[in-house]
Amino acid sequence: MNQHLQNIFNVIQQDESITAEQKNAIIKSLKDADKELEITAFKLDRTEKVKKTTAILLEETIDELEQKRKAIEETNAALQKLLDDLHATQAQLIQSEKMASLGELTAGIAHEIQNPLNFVNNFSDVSTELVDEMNEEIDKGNLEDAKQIAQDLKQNLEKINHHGKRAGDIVKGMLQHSRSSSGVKEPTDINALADEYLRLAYHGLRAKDKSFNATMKTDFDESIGIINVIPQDMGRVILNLITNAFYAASLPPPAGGFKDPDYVHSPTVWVTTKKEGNTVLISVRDNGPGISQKILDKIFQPFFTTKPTGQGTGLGLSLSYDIVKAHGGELKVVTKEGEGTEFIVLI
Amino acid sequence: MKAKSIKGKTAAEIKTELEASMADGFTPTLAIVFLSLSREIESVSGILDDKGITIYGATTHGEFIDEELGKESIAILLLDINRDYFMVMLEEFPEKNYREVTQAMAKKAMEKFATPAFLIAGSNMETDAEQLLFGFEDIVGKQVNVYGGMAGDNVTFTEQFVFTNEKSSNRGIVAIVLDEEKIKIKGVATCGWKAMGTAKTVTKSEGNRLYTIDDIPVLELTKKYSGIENVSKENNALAIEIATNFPLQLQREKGAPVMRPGLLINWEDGSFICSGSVPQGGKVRFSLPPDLDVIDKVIEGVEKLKATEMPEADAMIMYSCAGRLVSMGPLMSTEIEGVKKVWNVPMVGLFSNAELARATDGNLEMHNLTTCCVALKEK
Repeated sequence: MNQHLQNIFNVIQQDESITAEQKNAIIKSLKDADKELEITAFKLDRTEKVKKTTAILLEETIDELEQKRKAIEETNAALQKLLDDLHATQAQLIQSEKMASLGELTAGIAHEIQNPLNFVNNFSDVSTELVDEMNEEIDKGNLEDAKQIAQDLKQNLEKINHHGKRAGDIVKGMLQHSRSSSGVKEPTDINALADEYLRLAYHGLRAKDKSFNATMKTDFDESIGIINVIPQDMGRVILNLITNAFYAASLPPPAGGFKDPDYVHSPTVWVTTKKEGNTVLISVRDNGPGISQKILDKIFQPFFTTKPTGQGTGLGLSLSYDIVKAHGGELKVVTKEGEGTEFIVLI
Repeated sequence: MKAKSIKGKTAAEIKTELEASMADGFTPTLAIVFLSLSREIESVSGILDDKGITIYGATTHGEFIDEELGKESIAILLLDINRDYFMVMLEEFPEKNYREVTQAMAKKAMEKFATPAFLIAGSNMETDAEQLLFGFEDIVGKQVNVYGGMAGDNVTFTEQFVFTNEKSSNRGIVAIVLDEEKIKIKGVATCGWKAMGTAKTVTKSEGNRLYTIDDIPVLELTKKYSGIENVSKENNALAIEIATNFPLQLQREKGAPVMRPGLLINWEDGSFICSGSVPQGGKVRFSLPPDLDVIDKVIEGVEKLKATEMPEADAMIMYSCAGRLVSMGPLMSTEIEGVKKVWNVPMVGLFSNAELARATDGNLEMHNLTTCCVALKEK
């Protein structure tokens, strides 16, 4: 019992002036008071203990959360660096893909340049002879004939200039293809762009493989006129689709041959443009084996390729998809196994 | 069913009390015996045996029949229940095959009663009490009513016993099997410990042995977060202080968390033997004692049970964790007094190592730092 209450208890016990009944009532009150005191003391003690523990726990938890915050910050920084590295690698990959497609074009470009160069060489030779002839006529005093030859010479020089410029344009186009995209839309003749890349792709493949042969069919909608696209980027898309189409159309027959034994395969690629309302449609279709449904949902994924190792980066369709999306357009695929595939750019 | 509760400091006192209780013709058939004096098991059993009374007994960390808490004493609830309505079994599990043992007990119970309910008590700190519960569920079904607790040993955490008339065991289970078609049994469990701090991951554990949390030995982590002083092998009160003031709560994907206080400390590796299994990879949080008004919540819980499911009762049994006694101090008397007043029928209670009952979400589970009140009524 509490010491003070105990003192009162002792005094009450010894006091004979209080009746037994009164004593009992006082003693009961003393015991109740003692119990209440004990409970209050316990509550105070427990509250103090819990307060102390809570304070320490809170402090430790704050410290733990601070450490976690720092760890998250560090992880974030590491992730940011990884992201930067990824972006850099992505840029490098895009450049690699560009250079790879440039490689595919090289043979075609060489073929295209060879033609004007032949003209330049031939007309140069002819012009040299004409100069000799003109000198002879001058020596003879046939000035009229000399003038006529000079006229022919002028025409030759104009032709040399024309073909020189043509070669220059091809080189310029090639440089444009390999250069980083300006990212700026320019008024572009989409039909001319498609036609140029179709021919470059074809001649490129022909130059690499003499046995390669395919039929090209075009149907350009002249009403499209000039549209605003980023020419380097859209050219890359068209080139990629055409190169893929030639590759698919030229694949060997399936194991066991074609279903129809009388069928004679003639690799063909169709390039079509069409204007539908405000939308321009560029279609590249082949009569290859088509794309299996099993892999159809993967063809736009980066690094996915069906070509043998070393022959495809697996980035062509993925980049094409991104480029078309960036133009606010759509890149669709329609395929039927055994019949062919059509890629449609909608911009 | 008539019930009376008696208590005493010695076997001799119990003998006197028993005879006094039977003076009016009361003839008990079943005794629920809780005692913290294990040395008195034989003599008390002998006294009850002489009267032909079947015994369900367990040692305790303290026992009571009313708000006056007993220490180093004996508390008994006597019931004159029809012998056809119950049976008592005691089985041992030296092979630690807890689930198999209770499966066999449940099968035996099903032979006698179509709908058996169980009041159980288990002994030994290593016992996985949840496995005991699963064994009953396996045979009787998920709906089975099982209530009980794990025996104590006067807060020494050395050796606990369960016993019946002719046998006692320090690694066993004693059960009263009740015929639920004749005896109604309902219970409610209330805990109230509050989770604090962040959820941490159990990185190494085996059964109820908890080695590391977030790769830090659990003792070291507890010391750091609790601020408990005098963390040394010589401090005998340390385990109970950690268990009662800073227990772990095991978080679960479904349902309320369950308490998993460390009961024993291994000083070699800083691990704990917890009250129940703590799965590796599980999430735990530290917890602090509930507000003191939890006592009102326990009483309200029992009042709700009376209002909704058990308007009348013949007797009451209370399984309360020893940790609550430490944490609630003199307020435990207030809690017991309040609970007793709900039906105002004879009761008996013990302070246990663990409590076994349905949790708030309905699962049958092992709890800690919990009060489990069970009421019985003959139909």
